[in-house]
Amino acid sequence: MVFNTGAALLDAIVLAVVSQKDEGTYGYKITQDVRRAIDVSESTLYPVLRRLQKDECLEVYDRQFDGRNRRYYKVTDRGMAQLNLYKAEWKSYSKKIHEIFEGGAKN
Amino acid sequence: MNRKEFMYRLEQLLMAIPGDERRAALQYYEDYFEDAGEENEAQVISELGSPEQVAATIKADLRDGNREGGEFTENGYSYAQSGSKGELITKAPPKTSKTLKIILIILIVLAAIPFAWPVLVGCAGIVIGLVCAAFGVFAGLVIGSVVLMAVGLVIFIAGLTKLLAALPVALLASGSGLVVFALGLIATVAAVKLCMVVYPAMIRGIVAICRWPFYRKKVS
Repeated sequence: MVFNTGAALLDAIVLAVVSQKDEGTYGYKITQDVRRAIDVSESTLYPVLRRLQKDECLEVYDRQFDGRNRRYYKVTDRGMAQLNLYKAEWKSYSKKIHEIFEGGAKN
Repeated sequence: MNRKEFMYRLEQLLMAIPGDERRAALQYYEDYFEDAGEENEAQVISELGSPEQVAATIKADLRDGNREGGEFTENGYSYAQSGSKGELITKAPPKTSKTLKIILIILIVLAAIPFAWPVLVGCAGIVIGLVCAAFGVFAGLVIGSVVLMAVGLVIFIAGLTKLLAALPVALLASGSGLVVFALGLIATVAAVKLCMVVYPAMIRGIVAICRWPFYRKKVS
């Protein structure tokens, strides 16, 4: 991709992806979903998930799947607030960029 | 390299990080391989790169876990540099002002005075006592020497008065009196010289000790 994805945007995308499933989702799925939008290497996401977990934006739990424990990630209330904040910020940001790109929205 | 080798190497590389961090990371990548499925194993490994790279990203993130400036902090996301409106949950970091610090220090000092005062007085007493003792010892040396001199002189004079009565005794007495006097004179000179060296040094030392707190304040 031409544009860089900053740490905040990556956090926002991860939170958004995880929040799509009420019961939470797991590492591999998160990676695949995030990679549909932006080009990140597979090893990038673990530290992001871990950090969001430490910041109490994500919580983890283990659930039986296929005879093994699979770790699920779920967005916390705090994570939800954070995500809404990101979304609002992104909205105003992308709107401003859009206005400049398309030109003359004001004039 | 297959999955087993990859995970084994990763575990080795993560030995330096805390146990719970290591377990969480290893569980994540075990899960990852499981969910990718055996058919994608080679692809996942090539995507992940080397275990060294994976370990490096984990360690790098642990190192700067508390990043500064416009990122995640304990107070939530801060928009310090983007200058956004106040409706966001930006809590200002608790600022400890300088005046508050000074007031706190004064309060602590005031609270400590009842306990610190006797100790302080005790310490000052010990120091003053030691200084006085040192002064006394050297003054004593001088006085002792002077007295020795005087005694020599007295014995010499006493010997002279016996000169006519008993010549040998008188000569012996006045002779030894002179010797004692000479010894006293030497001792006096030596003691005075010693005092001239020691007293100024002691006074300089005391002055230095007294000035120390103020100098230190200037430095810090």
